[in-house]
Amino acid sequence: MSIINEPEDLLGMALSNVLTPSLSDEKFLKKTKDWKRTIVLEVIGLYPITLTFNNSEITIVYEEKPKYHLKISITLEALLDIAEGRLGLISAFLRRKVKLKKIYRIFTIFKFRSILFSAIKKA
Amino acid sequence: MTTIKESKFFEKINREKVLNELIKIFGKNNVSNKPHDLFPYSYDMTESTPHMPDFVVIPENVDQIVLIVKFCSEYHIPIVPYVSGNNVGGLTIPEEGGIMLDVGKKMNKVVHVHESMMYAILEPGVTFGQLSKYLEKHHPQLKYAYAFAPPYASVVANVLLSGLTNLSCTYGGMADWINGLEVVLSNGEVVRTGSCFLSKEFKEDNWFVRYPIPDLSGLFICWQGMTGIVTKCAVQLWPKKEYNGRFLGVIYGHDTLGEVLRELGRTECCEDVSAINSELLKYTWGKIRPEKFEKEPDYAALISISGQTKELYQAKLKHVKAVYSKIQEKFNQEALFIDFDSFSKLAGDEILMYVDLPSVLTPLFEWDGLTWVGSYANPDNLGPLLKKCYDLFQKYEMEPILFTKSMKASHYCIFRPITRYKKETEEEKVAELQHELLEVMLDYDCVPYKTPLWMTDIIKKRCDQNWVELLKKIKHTMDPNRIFNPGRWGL
Repeated sequence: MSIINEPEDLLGMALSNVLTPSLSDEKFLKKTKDWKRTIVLEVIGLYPITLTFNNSEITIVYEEKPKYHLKISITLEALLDIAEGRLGLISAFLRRKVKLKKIYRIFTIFKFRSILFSAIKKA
Repeated sequence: MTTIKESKFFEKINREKVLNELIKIFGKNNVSNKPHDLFPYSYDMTESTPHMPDFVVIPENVDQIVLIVKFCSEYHIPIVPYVSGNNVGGLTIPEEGGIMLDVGKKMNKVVHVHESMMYAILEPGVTFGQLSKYLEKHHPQLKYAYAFAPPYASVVANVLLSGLTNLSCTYGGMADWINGLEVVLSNGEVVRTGSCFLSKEFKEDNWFVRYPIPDLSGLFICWQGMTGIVTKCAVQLWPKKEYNGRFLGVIYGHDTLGEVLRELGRTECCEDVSAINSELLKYTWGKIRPEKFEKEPDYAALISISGQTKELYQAKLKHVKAVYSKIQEKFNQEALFIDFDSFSKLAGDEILMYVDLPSVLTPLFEWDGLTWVGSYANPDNLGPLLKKCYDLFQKYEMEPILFTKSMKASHYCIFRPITRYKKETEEEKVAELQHELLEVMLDYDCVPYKTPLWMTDIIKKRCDQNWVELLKKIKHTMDPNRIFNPGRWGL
């Protein structure tokens, strides 16, 4: 598995930095295998980026792609709190620290949470 | 290219006689005139023109320095004090040849730490890393500070040039922390300044304050080694605090940063408030000349807060956050103020290099050239100053690196546009950029520090001419034979 582009923006670079150590991890690979999803991640007060998972490849781009499976808007504080285990995703959502678009894609939400936050913990 | 010119003083005394005298004073193993030994002393990392010295000596005590100063005075031989080789602005490049006095190798003792009066008497070779380790081991309740420089940088050299530290937002520039000095004058006399002047002999326990006597220490501070050789310096230490936190503020806009820096400094709750432009963060991840995207923040503010008790620490943090939020609200921006250590989980451990002390900012050393126009600046001017200097980097197609720091509760701030470059191909362009940066900074009342020669030439043309005349008179009085680092400030 690989990140096929080199992001040039701060958020993209930070996420690439977080995901890279997990790319050779078997558990991580299992989670992302056969997964084809486009997810917009917007850090409130900063800007949105789009992560595209396509089987064994991830691309991270500096833009909000109009067609996505899920859009997560999150405060930077909440992102870090979730990553450090101080806050759960559901609890952040209930406290309005996270907003979700296409919320009905519940499996995508949980899978992305698992992918991203396990990578952050590993990094 | 390093230049080699026959030094003028050889008209008065031949090279062999000088060498013999130096060997007599310092011993054969502490003297050299071999080109391969001299070369490292001929240059620094900036665009300043290199020049070879004629000799290098390694003193181990004040008596040897007295002898060399008397000898050099007689034959008008230049002496350039040198410590750890971490120099900028050509400060230790021997413009007129002569003798490099390398005090870093053997005059590097912590002479005394006065625990209750919180000061340390240091020899010039003591480094920040060394002092920190010494205090941790012997005086764990006390701390000094770190400069925005590697741990092997000299404390005394930075103090004498009034450098900045990680505690400057509270305590100001390092020269403000000097309690007293021991200096060898041009006639070989040894003088002590500050409260230690009261005893005829050297005592360890009376170096606790610089005033209320005439401030003779000022004759040697920021003089770039032109008025005497400092052999001891008493610096103030500070009590260690139990609760410490470091935070990151995300900033959009030059004006916002100016206000954040000034107002957070004024809270008197922060040990440190500094900021770097976001491109510098990208260099951390190895990016060379990256694009800056429109929606990316312009700056990252780095904020340190400490407190003796948890309650005090939390109260300071609360107040700082409130002030920060109010400013961001004024500029219609989200107040992004986060714990730096948590942020490093997302951004990677490399990012900690900006807050972990001592600072070793590896991105600055990407190539062999590194230079800056460092200055003390008026915080009110910071917004437009940042913009103009940022635009100049764009004009010259150079990577912008902008560093700024609130000093002494924002009575002033540090503003430092930094250029990393390839010496072989970019030196000319960088020199032009430096000149333009300086002109803009002087227009905004910035006061440059650690000034190279080209810079002092420009400053002298623009400044109060009576100030220049007084400078010349003092230099002539202190050093009539022009032996101490001659050529600095064109004197």
